Amino acid sequence: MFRKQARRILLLLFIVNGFLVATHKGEFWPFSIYPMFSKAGQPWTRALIRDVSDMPDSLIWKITNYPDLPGNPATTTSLEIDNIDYSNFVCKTKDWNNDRVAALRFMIGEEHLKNRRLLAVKVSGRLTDDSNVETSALPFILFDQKGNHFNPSLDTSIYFQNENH
Amino acid sequence: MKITDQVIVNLFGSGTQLTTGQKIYFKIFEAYVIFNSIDLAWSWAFYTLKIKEVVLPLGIATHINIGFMHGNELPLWFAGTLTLLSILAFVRIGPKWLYLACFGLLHLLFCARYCLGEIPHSANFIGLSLLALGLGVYLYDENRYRQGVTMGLVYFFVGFGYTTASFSKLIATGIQWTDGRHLWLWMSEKSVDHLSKYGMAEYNFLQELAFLSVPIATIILIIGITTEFFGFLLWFKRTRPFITLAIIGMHIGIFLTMNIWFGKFMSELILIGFPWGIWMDKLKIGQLIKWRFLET
Repeated sequence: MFRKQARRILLLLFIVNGFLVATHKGEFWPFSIYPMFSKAGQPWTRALIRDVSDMPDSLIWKITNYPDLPGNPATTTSLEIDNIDYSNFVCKTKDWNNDRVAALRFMIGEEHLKNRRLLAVKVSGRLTDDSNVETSALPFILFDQKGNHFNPSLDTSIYFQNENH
Repeated sequence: MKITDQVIVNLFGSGTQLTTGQKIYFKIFEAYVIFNSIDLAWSWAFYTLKIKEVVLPLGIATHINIGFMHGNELPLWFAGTLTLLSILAFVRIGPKWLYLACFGLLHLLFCARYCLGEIPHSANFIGLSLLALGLGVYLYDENRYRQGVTMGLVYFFVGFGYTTASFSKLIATGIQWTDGRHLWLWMSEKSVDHLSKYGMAEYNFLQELAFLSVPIATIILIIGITTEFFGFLLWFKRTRPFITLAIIGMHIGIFLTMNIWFGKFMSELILIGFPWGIWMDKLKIGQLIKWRFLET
């Protein structure tokens, strides 16, 4: 009797699990199809943050080959930000409207911007044809006491893309 | 006996009376799930206070506007309620649905916390365990059935999760997923995360070894995906301890190559992967503890 009931409970929960992950792109916590690292070989983009307080404007916005980066490290640990959250926020946001930029500034924390200039940098990596990993760093948004600044050398359309695509 | 019957018996047992060791083990498991649920609830609640925008809604937040959890102290109230309800449920005061209510609260806290783009899996086993515990306590009055259903569901979904992960890789990429150069790409990606977090990134011995040759990196990936594939062996009593050790080894390998630490996964695996109750009986620990509390 108990086994029969247990079988039914398992079947029911298995169906619920299947329905929820099938209708929610594989994720409905705590159910998941665990897709992490499933798409191998794809180019990636991550974000980090640099302290460029002592750098002249002319050098801040240059695209560099990682690990050459502008300024000094301003670690997410010292800024008390969750590293993955920060990186995903910067990399997954496509429409940098005022609210999004303000939310990122809020995440960094106004107290960390006193007399400092912090630069959000996107780092991208890909496999080259000759089996090397090529990485480059793109300075993306500068935060200082005066406000927030996009990279002037980039086309503004890069900052305002449709998030539904 | 049919294979499905064998799986069911291995997962849920046959509903026989529990030994004292098994009763103690189940209480320890229950306490572990509650402790971690409370820990997650408070850490998510405090972090949610810093969130202003929803970038990627998950779970129930894809149907309701989770923004009502942001910009106020509601997450702290939810975490406080979850703490109170789970302690009441643990000492068996109040209705039988308290753990299920805690599960609902934890899901809401998860959705409020993880809406910025990250899709974490580190707390999935705790969530599944709380749900299994909720169902076991809600559906049955006798401890032996509660234990059987709870542990059976946990074994099933943890094992199924690992096997599913290997299928996800084979479906999304195919057998070429094991190409060692893919590991190079992930290791360099994770080095950026490490640099971002700590301000420095240096490759360790295993990473240097993997970067040295494609075959070595390929072997590391083959060991990883094979271990994941055999995750379903958690469903069987005899194979459970061995696959647990293999999976723990795989998680240590993931930590060494990609700096991802699955602490909650590993602690739960240690707790569910070995016959602790039987070992306690053998050591006669049960004779020392004779609480009536263990019967509930």
